[in-house]
Amino acid sequence: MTSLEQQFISESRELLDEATACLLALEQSPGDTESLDGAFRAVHTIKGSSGLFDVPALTRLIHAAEDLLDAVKAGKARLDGDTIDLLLSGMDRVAGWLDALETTGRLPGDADDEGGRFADAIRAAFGASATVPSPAAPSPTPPERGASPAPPGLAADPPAWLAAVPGENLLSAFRRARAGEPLTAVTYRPDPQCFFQGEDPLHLVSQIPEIAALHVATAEAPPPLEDFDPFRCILEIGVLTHAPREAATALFRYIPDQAEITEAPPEALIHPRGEPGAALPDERFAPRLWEQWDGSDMDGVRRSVSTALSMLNSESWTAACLHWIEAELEAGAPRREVVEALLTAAVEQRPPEVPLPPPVPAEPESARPPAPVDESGPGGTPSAAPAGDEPASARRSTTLRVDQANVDALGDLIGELVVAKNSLPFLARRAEHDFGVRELARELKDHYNVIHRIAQAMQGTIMRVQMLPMGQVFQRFPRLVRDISRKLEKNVALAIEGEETEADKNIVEALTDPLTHMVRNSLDHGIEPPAERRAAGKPEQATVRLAARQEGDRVVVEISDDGRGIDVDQVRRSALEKGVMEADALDALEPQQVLQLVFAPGFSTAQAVSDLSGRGVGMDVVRTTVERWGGQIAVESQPGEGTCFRVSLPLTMAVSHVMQVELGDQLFGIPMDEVVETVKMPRDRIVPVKHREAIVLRDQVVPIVRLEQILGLEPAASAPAGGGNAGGDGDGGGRDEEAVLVARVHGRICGLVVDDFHEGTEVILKPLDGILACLSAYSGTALLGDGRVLLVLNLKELL
Amino acid sequence: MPVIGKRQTVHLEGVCSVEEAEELLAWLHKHPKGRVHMKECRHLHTAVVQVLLCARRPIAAPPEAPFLRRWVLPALEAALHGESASS
Amino acid sequence: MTPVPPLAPPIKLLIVDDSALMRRKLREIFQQAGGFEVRTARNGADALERIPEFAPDVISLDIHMPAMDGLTCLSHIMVEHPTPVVMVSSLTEEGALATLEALELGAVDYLPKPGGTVSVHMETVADQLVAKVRAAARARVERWSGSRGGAPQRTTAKRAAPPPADAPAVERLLLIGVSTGGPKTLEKILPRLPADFPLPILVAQHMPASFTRVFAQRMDQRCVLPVTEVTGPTVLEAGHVYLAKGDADMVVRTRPRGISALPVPADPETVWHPSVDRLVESACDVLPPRRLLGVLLTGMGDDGAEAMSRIHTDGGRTIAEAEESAIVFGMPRELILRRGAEAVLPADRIADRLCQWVGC
Repeated sequence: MTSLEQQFISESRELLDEATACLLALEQSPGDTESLDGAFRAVHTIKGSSGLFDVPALTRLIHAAEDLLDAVKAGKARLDGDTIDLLLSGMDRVAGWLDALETTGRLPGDADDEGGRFADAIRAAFGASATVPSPAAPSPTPPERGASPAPPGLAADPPAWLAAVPGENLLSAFRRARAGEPLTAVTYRPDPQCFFQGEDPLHLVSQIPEIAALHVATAEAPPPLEDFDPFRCILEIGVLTHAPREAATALFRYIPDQAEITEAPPEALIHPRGEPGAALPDERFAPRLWEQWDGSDMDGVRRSVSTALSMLNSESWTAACLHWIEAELEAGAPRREVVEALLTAAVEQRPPEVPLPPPVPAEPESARPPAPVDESGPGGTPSAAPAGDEPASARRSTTLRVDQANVDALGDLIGELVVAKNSLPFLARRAEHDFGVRELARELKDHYNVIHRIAQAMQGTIMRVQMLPMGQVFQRFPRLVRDISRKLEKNVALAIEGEETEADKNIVEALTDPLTHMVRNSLDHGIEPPAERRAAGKPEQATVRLAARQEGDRVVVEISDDGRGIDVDQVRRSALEKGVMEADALDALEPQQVLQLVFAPGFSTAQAVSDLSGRGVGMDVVRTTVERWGGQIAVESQPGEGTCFRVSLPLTMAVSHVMQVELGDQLFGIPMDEVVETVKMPRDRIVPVKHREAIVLRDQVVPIVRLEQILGLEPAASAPAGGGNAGGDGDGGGRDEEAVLVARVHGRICGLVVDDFHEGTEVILKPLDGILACLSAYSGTALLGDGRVLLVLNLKELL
Repeated sequence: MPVIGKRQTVHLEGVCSVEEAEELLAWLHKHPKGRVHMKECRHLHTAVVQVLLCARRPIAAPPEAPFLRRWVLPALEAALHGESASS
Repeated sequence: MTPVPPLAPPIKLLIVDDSALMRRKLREIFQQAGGFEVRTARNGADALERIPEFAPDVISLDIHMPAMDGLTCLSHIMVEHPTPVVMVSSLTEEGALATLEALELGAVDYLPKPGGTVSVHMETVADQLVAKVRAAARARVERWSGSRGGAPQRTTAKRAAPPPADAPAVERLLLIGVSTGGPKTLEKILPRLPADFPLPILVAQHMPASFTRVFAQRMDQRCVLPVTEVTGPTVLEAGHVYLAKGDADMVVRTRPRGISALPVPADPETVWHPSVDRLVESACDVLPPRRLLGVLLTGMGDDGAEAMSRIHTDGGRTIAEAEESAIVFGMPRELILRRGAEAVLPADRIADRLCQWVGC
């Protein structure tokens, strides 16, 4: 399923809900034009979008609904309770199809029929004749029909053109049908304008498999050649085929209005033809035949018929009837009533009255709306879902509304499963090393692989469940911007883009506060009062833009305005005053780097806000929040032209890969994407640089820090002496090496001295919460396979 | 050009597309006794078939393409003989 | 991901549609084509808010939208920020009415909504969409004056009777080819032709089939001459306007009952239908070119230029619409470049010149 399809499905669901709500409102107050417009627009949009996909049945049904609502709008039709019922059940049917589309990638097999029935019923409801020369539209099957339900699409009457098909074609088709092959009749009246649409009806017909007879004739008397319009199609085409009905329906799916496709009972083919006059050779023929029949002497019956045939003029009516009897007798279980009717026809020299099989629906064409969906199922084709007799419940079973807490719990459990499965390799290792059972270790690893695969699939699924469009967050802003800008007496327009961009629900929700913060800031400080804007030659109305888009596996949100921008010098001064940075360090910074200081802790205080003709309130809080969710934030600004904050966050809270490092008997995690490499460095290669230490790695000077120091852990020995305290396994002890993990943070390379490295692992990172949330040194915790808790370091904060 | 008029016979050859219907119609109108040669015809557009059905002209040489020969030709012959056109 | 940077600055396109899906599809189409800076708006009100800031070169506007529908939004745009607007509409007859109204309000062109049967040929449709929007971005737009062209409303009953059996055989034809911007332009010409105009007038206006019938009806109400859509073989009469059926081509033929126009299935080799070139060429086969008058009006591309310049070379008379009035100066320009235009005139002076030429 492409994401476009996915979007179509979810958008259409919402629109269906909207249409339903509007229809219900209309039922309460019929004059409610707003609801009418709403319902019309909803179905109009669904119709438009559906054209992008291969779902003609859906388009057809919705199109009929649109036309009906349009007619109501134009005052040409009225909506009464029944019509609304019909529309609502049509909407339900479409909803069911969307579910099918989502799960199976296509509409159910009976959708074309259903769509046609609904479309005809809806059109009948406002008196629009079904399009063009409607061949009897498939009429809805009455649900109350007795024990043997009619097969779908069984015509009330066999098509009239059958009478014009040569006898030998009919006979051979009859034989094959009585031998159990399917028999389908197609009556196709191409649209008169079809040649202009590039159609070639006979070419289409030639693609029907197993053709048994073809009838081509003009449906109206053709004009004389002088007046003949060669490009107006006036043909009626009839086809008999031994292909199953569905095969023919599939070919005509784009022009269902032009073709009536029915399962024909073999009896419908019985059309003896011949010259009248010749009587049966012997008046004892019939009684003798029935004697043989009653004595179950079928061979005798057959012999009698063929003897009689040999004595008859083969062109005669009587012979024709006997040929049909002969054909019926060839069938496995010849039916007496058929033979009787044909015999009578032969004797009385009139067309046979062959009883057609009992369940012939004789419903007047499309006069009756389809039964409400939950009843219309019984006639469904075998391809209909097993629950087809209760589509409403079927729908409920494919889309669930569940408590968010349950989804969260499920997500957590899956996360724990992912972690728990990681204990299997531990076990396998123990089995092998501690207990020496290699075999068991191997089996454990095999099982681990299976569980690993399942766990990953579960994770993918729960991730998709938890995706939300950014629109969920954005939708609060129009109101917020309107209210605040009115309060501030500023004229501000909000532009929203990319609200359809999806991200993990947790992330979308985590963005709410930072976004609100930034938008407020923008309104408070970024946007100038109208007078100032006028003076600056800007349009009085300012614009704040919220835009989301996906970039790789990240979602990027921009909050920009066309306000006065941030004054870099002010930021410098302020940073200096607040002691955020030394003057010389400040001077070395590029203007864009200075701007990033607005995120520095301690920079933005309430004081700073009023001082600074820009922003400030709690931008460090914004950054902390964003980074806690694995995000980054940056700001750009042009004085006088505006400011843009760019937030980039991971699309999902998927599993994080972390590298485990050991430090004083404790394990810590470091996000794998920050790890550049790990090296074991002889201690004498660590050189002091100013008051710090560094190593030279491939000609590059890499500053190093001792993790235990910055974490404030108790150093086991005098720090630079290191080495001896390494808790690493194996030959650690007296080795003169330091384990250095080289990381890249904020674009800078830095070495971290740790006691030892362990393998990388995947964990579900949980942000610290409660009282721990203020520990910015850690980005979260994770549960390890052996039950230990891993603290994952936030290097951005630490360094 | 798949529609070629030769004295009293029009030859339909290869794939006859929808365009040819008009040309064939004009030719048949000008040649009320014209006949239709279809031996080399591989495909007839429905519009062309329709002209032939309505013009009811003798067929000088039947088509060899299976679908045309098996199903379309009998319909044309039936129309020519004034019967309803079926096969 | 980013397309090759185009040489020209990107065309700023604002897509206005209430369906996020459609916005996305359209955005994809234009981004794939390259050379566009695309923004979107969800409805008319939203669009009006964005226009001043974004200052789009061209706007694509859906007709049915909540909050403010396309036509209302269009009239605001035409009054407040005249910008080329391309309507996005479904090609139904209802859609045709609204779209023709939009064209009268000043929309430059319209696009079929990608969908319905056209989605089958999505690639070709996408090409057309992009071509139309590119052309529209350069179109000239008049601030809407609020009046409807000032065309004379027909007051007297039209000649309804069929021509007498001995009506003189048609000897000359007036052929008009027009594309983008056509409905507005034709309104400056056809209503000014008098009832005794002595030639049949054949018009090939690039348009889909569902539009031409409605368009013919609307023109018929505004013209002294009867205007009909040609839906089947039609014997030509003097003083009658024949509008080619959309999505098909129209040709002139000598038929048993006289010189006739008839619709023929569109030639898949060419993009624009009804094809002006095909109409003019077929007329040249029926009558000597010196008996033909050709007028080539606003529109993108070059349809008609080749065949009409042949009329001019072979002694017939031709007019190309002047740049000053052409909404899209494409087809007439091609005719002028081919030295095929006898006269180059703004739309509102064409009718007078035609009358002068035919002597009425």
